[in-house]
Amino acid sequence: MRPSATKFAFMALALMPLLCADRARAQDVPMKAGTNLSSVVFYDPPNESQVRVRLSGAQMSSLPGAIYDVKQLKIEEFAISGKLQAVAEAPQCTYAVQDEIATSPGSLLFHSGDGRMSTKGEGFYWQQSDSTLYISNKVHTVILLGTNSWRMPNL
Amino acid sequence: MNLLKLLLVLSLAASSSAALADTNAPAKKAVAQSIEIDSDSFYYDGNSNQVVYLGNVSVTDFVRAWLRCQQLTVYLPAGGSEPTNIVAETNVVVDALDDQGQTNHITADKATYSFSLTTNSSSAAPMVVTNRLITFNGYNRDVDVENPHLSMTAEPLIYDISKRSLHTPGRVKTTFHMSAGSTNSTLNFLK
Repeated sequence: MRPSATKFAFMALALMPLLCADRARAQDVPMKAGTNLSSVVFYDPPNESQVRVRLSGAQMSSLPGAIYDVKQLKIEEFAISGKLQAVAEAPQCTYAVQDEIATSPGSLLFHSGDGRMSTKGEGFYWQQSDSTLYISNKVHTVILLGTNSWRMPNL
Repeated sequence: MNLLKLLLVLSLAASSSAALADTNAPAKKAVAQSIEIDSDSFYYDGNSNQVVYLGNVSVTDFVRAWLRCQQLTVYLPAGGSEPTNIVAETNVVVDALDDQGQTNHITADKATYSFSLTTNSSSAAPMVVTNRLITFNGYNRDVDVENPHLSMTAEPLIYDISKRSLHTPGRVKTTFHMSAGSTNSTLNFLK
């Protein structure tokens, strides 16, 4: 399965200081704290000038075991036209490079670019290799509607 | 994970699902402004294209309907368009407002929303027909429907959203609630 833009984005953020290093070396290279991190991922040719994903983090610091602490993560996904499609935000998470797992006991919020739909929850586990996301507590989704809900017939 | 895909799926799932009945609201004037889904936890599997809400699931629009269950699963097509199936399982309870403003209370073990497109080739110009069904199953018990005018038990109970009609291909029992002073009558339909 093709890795999603978000997957690329998250990996890029976590691995930004190591873009020129392989994964094995990453465990041996001490990370330095970074602030106001930002990066973009572009579409493939022929739309290589269009931003597909913009990601940012206020701060990233290394923890023992090739695990990184990311503050104020924000991932924005764009259409080829440039229209904002989706945004994911987490105040804090930890990212394990080797296992490609991001976790946090804190909140996760994602919403559509037009603001018509949003989901939030507390405590998440994001395994990139399996393309799976768990939100463990207090999941709440809001969808703004037209008038297309179904209605019971008269009995 | 493709966030856009996930968001689209959830939007479609919720708009096709049941939501809450407010018996004080005039049915023909009430317009749902939003749908809210609450659950204990949430799971998205990008490989199998499933979205699962787990534990004390509640889907509501605060106007027309309210669905409660223990698990709500949305099955997505690979292309990311409208979900082919949405399944509510375990202690499924639906309160839905009909056109007359009366509340229909439905209990079942499982409710399945299915979406498909078929081609009607019988006409001169073949037409693509949209099929949207909600099938209620009782399994260990019949599906129960209650409203101010009748009580119905059936297994299964199928609601055709496109045709706005109910089907009960199996055994069905209906009790009509007569007005005050009348004697209740019970009709049994064995098919």
